[in-house]
Amino acid sequence: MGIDNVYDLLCVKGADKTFAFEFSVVKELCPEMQISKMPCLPSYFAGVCNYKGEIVPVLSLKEEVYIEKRKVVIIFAYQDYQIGILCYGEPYILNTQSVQEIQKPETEADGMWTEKKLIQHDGEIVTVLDIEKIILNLAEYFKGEYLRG
Amino acid sequence: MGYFDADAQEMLEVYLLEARQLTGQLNETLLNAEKENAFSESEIHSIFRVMHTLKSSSAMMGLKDLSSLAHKMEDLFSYFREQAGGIEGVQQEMFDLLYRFLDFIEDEMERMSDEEYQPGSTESLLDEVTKYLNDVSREPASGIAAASQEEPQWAPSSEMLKRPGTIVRVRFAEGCRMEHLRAFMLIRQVKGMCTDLESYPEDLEHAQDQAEEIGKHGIYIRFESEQKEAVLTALSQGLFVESCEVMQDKAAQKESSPCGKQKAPRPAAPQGNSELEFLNVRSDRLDKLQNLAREMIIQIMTLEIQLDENGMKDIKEGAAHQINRLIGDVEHTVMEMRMVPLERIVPKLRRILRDICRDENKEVDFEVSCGDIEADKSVVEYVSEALLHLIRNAVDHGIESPQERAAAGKARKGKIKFSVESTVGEVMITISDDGQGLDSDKILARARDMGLLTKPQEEYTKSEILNMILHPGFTTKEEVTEYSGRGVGLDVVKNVLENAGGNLYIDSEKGRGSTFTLVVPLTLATMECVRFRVEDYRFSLPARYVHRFLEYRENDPGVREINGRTYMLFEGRMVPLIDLREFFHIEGTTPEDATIIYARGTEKEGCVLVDGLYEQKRIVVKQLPPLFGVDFRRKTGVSGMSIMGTGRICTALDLEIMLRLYERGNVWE
Repeated sequence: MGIDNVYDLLCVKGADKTFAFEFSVVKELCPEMQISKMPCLPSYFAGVCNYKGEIVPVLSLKEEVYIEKRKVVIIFAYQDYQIGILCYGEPYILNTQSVQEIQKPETEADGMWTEKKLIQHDGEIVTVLDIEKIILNLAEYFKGEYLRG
Repeated sequence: MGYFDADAQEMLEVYLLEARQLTGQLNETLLNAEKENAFSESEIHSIFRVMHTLKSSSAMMGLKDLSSLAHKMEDLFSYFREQAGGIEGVQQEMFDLLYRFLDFIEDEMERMSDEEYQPGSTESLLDEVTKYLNDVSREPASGIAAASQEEPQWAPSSEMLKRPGTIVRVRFAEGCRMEHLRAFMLIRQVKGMCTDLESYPEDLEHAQDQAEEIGKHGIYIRFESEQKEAVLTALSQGLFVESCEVMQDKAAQKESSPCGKQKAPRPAAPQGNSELEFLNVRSDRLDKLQNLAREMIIQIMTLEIQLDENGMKDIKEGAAHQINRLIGDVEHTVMEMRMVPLERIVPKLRRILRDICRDENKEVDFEVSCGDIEADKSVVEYVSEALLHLIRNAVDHGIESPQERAAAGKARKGKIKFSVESTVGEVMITISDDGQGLDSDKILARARDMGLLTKPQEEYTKSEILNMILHPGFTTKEEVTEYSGRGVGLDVVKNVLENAGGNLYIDSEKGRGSTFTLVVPLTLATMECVRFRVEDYRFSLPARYVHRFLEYRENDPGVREINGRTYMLFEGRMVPLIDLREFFHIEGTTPEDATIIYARGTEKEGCVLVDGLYEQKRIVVKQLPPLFGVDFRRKTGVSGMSIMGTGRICTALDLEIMLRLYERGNVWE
């Protein structure tokens, strides 16, 4: 099935997967951003970065490509929160006019990387991540489950 | 969905900003008026305007009850306005009512941003105001109003009453004849001493037909003069003058400040022309601007390094240098934008002093000396909270009752002095009182009972003894009052100051009084920090907690495991030794030349094992990202983060929390 509303997506290629993000939550692309390590963070965090004077936590897709590629931190903002996602390689724009949405299996969301939808482009499956949900889930996690007791 | 509809919700921020400015203005007016026990005409006008604006703004927000209450207050002050002139001998009941109104509004404003906000009941306040208005409007008028009612045909015009200056009523001795000429001569006598002069009736020289009336009712003279007393004396000693009664005295409005000097313009609520000079700016936007300015500094440093590495010296010393200077100016300007005068704390302090003195039946004179000194807005907010505690303490613990003071040969009225001085990069704020002072013996005894003594009593210096009162839970008071006795006030002061990067010093003499001195940085909450590293991680601890550095190699023999925790022998006792590698599960091995930092907080002490040290520096410790939530610090011992000059981020540690977590068990267990 085609996508009803045609719009652009920001895409990054990982080792095994291609990820896409809706521009409504993308704030900025920061190439070669210095990431500092911070203790006490769950393993899916690469650390924290200094984004225009603010401390922003940075997540890692753990999809590092083993060929030397430029690293980019994509800064996302939703409600009062900001996060960065560390990616490797050059992000590119995908227009949804040329994509097909794939019907996802009816299973519970697993893990941190909540998917909004799966789309197909040029024979490739692209995972559109639900950044809003990811951020809210993280906020809930730190409020509640994190280091409980 | 909260109380406010979508439209009102959008306006809430602006409403609260305006309402806070108005209540601040009202508070200051009330404090001044209560001191004089009178409302001047300008104060009545000011309060009327505040109520009028609150009424309409609240109505716009759908706050009908609050609007009605403000309307009733407006009616009350509208009545006072119509009486002309000020009100002398105001009853305490009136001030209490206005303060209760003020407290009610401030409480409502605190809650308005909550989603569950529901307006409080205004019923009892409304009844009180209505009753008060009914009572005062039945009372006989006084001053010129009374005279006008007594002789409705013989009264100065309302224009004359509105003008500034002194209005006197001069009566002549019965039967002196040619009263109009006598009045005319009297005016001529004082004319040279006055900058402005008018009379009722006018044109006395030709007022022969009014001589009889003048004989019966006297004349009204309005004058403005630098020699007011001399004019009054001349009038009262005039030929055939029987009485000279001051009916109204309205000085021309002068800028006066609680600091007793001409006050410099300050970014207060915009009124009239000053709307063009000042803007209300959201502080989070200023924070953002400051972050950007700092970021530019970091980037320009990086640029300079890269220009050096690439041999572009001419660019580095040319355009890059100019940009660096401009960015420095921008950062400095942004810092200045955040500066607010310390004087703005004064109304709050006066209000708390007023309330506590009333409740404890004590009399205190509050002296203020703060000049134009400014500090960063966040520092002023921190300090304000600390000062409120100190003022409460000064009255509750320090100042004796009037009877006790008289028995001790002191003036019945106690004295509390608030003064501010600035030194290089810091501001020194002092609250001193002439009360009973601190009793060192009592403090020592209490400290002994609480098990706080770590050495023989006689070895404690005066300063160490006095500082014991800062210990959490410390109090020498037998009973708990509304204001003190729980032992939390000074502890809070200390913590608040430390969060602002400041310090507290105490001096006291039994029977003579105490002085508390707060020293805080002028600019943002910067803190002197000791910085260190473990592998790729960078950390910092506040320098005031760090007491010694030790070599790991040399002290290894003194390390022991006790009940699953590592301790180290230090000055004859075993103190916790936190290996940050183990504590935070950082991979790697401790190098041979590792360092041990001995640190001591308010309650706990311990040693921290680190790979290496960096230079001590004054840094800005920023709050943790909102994503981590409010409990992150408590759960991990990580209190904040700093951005280093290189752009790298350093993790700020909370020593007390870390030690507490260490005793309970490692973070990750």
